[in-house]
Amino acid sequence: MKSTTALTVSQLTKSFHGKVILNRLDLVLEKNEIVAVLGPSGCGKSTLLRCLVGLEQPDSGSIEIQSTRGTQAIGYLFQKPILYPHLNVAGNISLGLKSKPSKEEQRNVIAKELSFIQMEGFEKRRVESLSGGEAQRVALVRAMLGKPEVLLLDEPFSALDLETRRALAIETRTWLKKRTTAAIHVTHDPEEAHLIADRVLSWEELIHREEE
Amino acid sequence: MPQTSRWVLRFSFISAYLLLASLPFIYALGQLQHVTGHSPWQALWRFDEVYGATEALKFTLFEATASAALTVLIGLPIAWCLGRYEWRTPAVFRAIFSVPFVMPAIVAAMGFLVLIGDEGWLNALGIDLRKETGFIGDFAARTGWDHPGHFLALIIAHAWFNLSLMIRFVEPTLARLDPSWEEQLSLLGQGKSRFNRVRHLWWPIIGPAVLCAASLSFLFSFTSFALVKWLAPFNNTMESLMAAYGGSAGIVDYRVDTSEIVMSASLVQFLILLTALYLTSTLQQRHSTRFSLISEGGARAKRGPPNWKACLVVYSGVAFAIAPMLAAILASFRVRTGSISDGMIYEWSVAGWTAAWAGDLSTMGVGEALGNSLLYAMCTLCIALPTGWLLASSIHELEKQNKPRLAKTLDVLTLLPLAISAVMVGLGILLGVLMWMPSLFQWDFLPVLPHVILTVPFVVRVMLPAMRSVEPQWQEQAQVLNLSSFQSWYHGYFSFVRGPAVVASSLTVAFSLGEFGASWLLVRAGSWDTLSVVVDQLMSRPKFDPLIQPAAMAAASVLMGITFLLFFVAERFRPEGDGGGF
Repeated sequence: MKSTTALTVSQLTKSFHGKVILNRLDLVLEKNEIVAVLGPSGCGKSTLLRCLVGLEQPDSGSIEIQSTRGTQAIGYLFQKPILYPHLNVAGNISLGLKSKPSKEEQRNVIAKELSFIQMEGFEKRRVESLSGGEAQRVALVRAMLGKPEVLLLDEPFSALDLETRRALAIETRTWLKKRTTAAIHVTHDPEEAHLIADRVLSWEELIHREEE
Repeated sequence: MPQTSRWVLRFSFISAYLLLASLPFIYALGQLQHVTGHSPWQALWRFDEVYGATEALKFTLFEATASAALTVLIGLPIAWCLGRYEWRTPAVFRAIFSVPFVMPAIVAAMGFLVLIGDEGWLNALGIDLRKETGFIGDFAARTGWDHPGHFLALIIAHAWFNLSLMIRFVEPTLARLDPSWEEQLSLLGQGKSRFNRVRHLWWPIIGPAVLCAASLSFLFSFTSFALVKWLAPFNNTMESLMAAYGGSAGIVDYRVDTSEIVMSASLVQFLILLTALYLTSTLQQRHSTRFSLISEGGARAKRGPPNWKACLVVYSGVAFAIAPMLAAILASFRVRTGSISDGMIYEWSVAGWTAAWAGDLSTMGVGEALGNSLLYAMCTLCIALPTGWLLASSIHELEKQNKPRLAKTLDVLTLLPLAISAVMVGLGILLGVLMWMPSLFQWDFLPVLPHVILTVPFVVRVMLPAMRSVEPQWQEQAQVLNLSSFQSWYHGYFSFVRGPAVVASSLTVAFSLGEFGASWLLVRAGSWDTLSVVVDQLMSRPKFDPLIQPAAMAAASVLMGITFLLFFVAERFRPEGDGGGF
């Protein structure tokens, strides 16, 4: 039988300079499911995501990704959109492509993605000229181009104004569902968590579970 | 490659470089010890008994301190005005003020010689710094000070040379200061008076930058050679003293007194420069800490366009920065046609350029010398850039791995060649190589060695801040996009240090082209003269031939033109708001 789980985290532990940040944490993410982890700033939410994507090495525990691509099946969206200033919008998006298509094909893919996020004609724009919301949309499209099976969203909308934040949360949910991508979204904003997720887990709940 | 193997490779390379950089000096010291029979401690102890050493030390300390003070006096108002107001083309001003620093010292010396010469612009204003007539002569007679005009010319030239340090350190700090800091202070009790605002806001912010630039000015003035040789010929600095006696030092049973002079002077100079470097390094660290506290933003726009006083300061500074260069270029086209008895008559001609290009029996043509200089510079670049890059990345790796002491030690070790100075490096190689492998002395590429030793610290100084400023996020983003290792390195790292690498390369080539101290000692007249040595050779000849001076100025202008070109290439790649000093 085909597994319905996208990601399983067991007994994950991580500490920095003797201070335990994650203590034997367990988490299961189903395929096509969007989970929001709600917690205050500095509690360790980002550390959890960084361990999942391999940017940090956990002290102990296991992370099981139900994909033959391993950590390559995971996409990541940072809190601050990281767009390379030496490349224009199209150049930044093209970094997300899994393989290098022909120039014509690449142009078409980028134009299609830009129209999907309602940013037609932005190909040649310098990334410094983008607003916060536009930059985050470009970063999201780039992350999605790699066809991740799990997308990790590290408070990507926290620096935006309320209206843009709400709009982007709804748009992101639509994109994820349309592309059947599972996601873990960490945030400290309950409204955003409920707008985007199928299931909302509070940080205390995660800790409480492990204490049980 | 596993992490351990990579560190073993790095460590071996760093050790090899440090050994290469220090061996000539150690060998030379060993040879001098052998000739004089004095240990280094004895040589230091006997310093005041060595002929001319105490006078040279006093003069060097005096001129270096005065030069640093004059640099602050001239540079600070310019940096202040440039950083505080919204100029239409700040980058152009910044570039103009930075040019003197990359100009070869021999070119600067030629420019100032023209400015203070008989037909010079300063003489036309009644200021005779060369022959010391008029009020300068009266001042000398009244005070009993030997050659105050020469001294003044020297410190003005040093201030000109180091002007860019003040601009590069102080101006970005001021330009990036959030105006609300100042506004807030002016509304508080302690900020009502200008003095208090300077005390509580300006000095804490720009003080370390000013002191850092001043200490570097001191360092460069202390080790200056070409400017001293040409502008203050009757005075010896430690550097010129060693150069003067270096030729006969280190030979057993021959002129032992010269070996004593060189040994004592080099050790004392090394200790003084080491202290100055330590001070500079500490101040630079404080400067960067303060600098990082300052917020960016449209600070200039808020303060508006410059007033007439700021314009006066900045445009006077521009005139000061370009005058010696302009004077040297113009002098290359002015050929004397009359004689001293008939009265000097000059006419505009390209004869000086033709003579410089053709060369003669005793001096090489400019084209050929330029070819040699470029070849040396390219060889230097090929070795110095990767070496400096590796050293800088190793220091940065150690910092990232939370090993600050080890990183600081390596940082200071890479700066050591600056404490040894060009003439000492040249002498070290001269004496060291003679003792170790005399046949190497016939090797045409020997001058590349001191050029590499002298330029690597500059590469490290440029690359290290750039490497520190690359945020790990860029590499992490590349990693999570599953890019290949090369793509990750290119987009997440190299694209951010590419600009500084071009700056470091241009500086390396410019410094190698203009290097004079070590080349002067090592390059023997013949087929491997460099352009800076040719300029010196031409100017050292008697001026009976009216084409000698214009030819020397033409050679200096060629050197100036190439340095200028390199500098503008480098400027295009310099990161915005760069306050690194070089």
